Amino acid sequence: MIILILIAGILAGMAIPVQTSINSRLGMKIGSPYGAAAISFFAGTLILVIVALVTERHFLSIIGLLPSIPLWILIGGGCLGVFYLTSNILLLPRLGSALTVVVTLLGQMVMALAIDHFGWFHIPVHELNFPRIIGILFIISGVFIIKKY
Amino acid sequence: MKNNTMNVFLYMMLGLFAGMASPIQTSINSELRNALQSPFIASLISFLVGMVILLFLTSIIEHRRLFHLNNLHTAKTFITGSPWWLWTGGILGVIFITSNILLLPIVGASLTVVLALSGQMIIALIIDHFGWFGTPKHRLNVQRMLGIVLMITGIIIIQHF
Repeated sequence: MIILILIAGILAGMAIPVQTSINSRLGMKIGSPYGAAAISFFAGTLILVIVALVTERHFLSIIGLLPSIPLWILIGGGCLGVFYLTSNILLLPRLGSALTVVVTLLGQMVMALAIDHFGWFHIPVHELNFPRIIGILFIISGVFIIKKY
Repeated sequence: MKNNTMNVFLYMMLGLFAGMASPIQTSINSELRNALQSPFIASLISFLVGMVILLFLTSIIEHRRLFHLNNLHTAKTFITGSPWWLWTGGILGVIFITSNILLLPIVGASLTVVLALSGQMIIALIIDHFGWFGTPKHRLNVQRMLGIVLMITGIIIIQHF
């Protein structure tokens, strides 16, 4: 079972470089990376409306729950997603692709280990240990080698 | 020169913060999923908020070009004259965001990040190797293979401990 979950995670990650390639083509065509991102989010929103309408039988009652949810949970995810995307667009021409990937990756790893270690956001606590640090070092060196050669 | 080094340092800090934003985004999205009991509607809200912010950003940054694009005829020939796959980036984003919401509570934040990253690296090497989407061809070599082996070893270690 766990192997299927691991493969699903890898497959989901595979969507990203394909998306980046397509969006950067779109960005070149319309002459604006921000416009391309907006179109991409618009398409995503449309698809999710359809998927949610089809899969959720209680769509309207779930939408009715929205006003009772704290604002940071409601808009936090979308805001951070745009921050990540926009920073990458700004950084790529200034730092180059290798350095951009390595610094954003480092930020992701540090924060993800902290979330697991402290069990923030109701994630089960998984304390940082020596083998986990070794694992992270393996991954960062792997990324570095791929980017360098 | 000193000024330039300072700029690179500031950009690197920005990259670090942007990277930190990513697992927090997934965590907040999965809080929303718990509150709503629906991964798809949580994903939808996240996309909707992102879309509103980006429309706002685009209309400020690109107001001249946007005004130009407002010429309906230009927009129409652009839309009909472009290949269909140019509009599919959003679907891939949906797959990524929704899968992350589903995976995070099962495998934890670190493994979610690491799995997505490995998928990214593997497909990026394949895109480079075949030169898909008009990218310059960059053949797979021994060093790049070694990099992938290192990454997969890292995943196995993190998953076991």
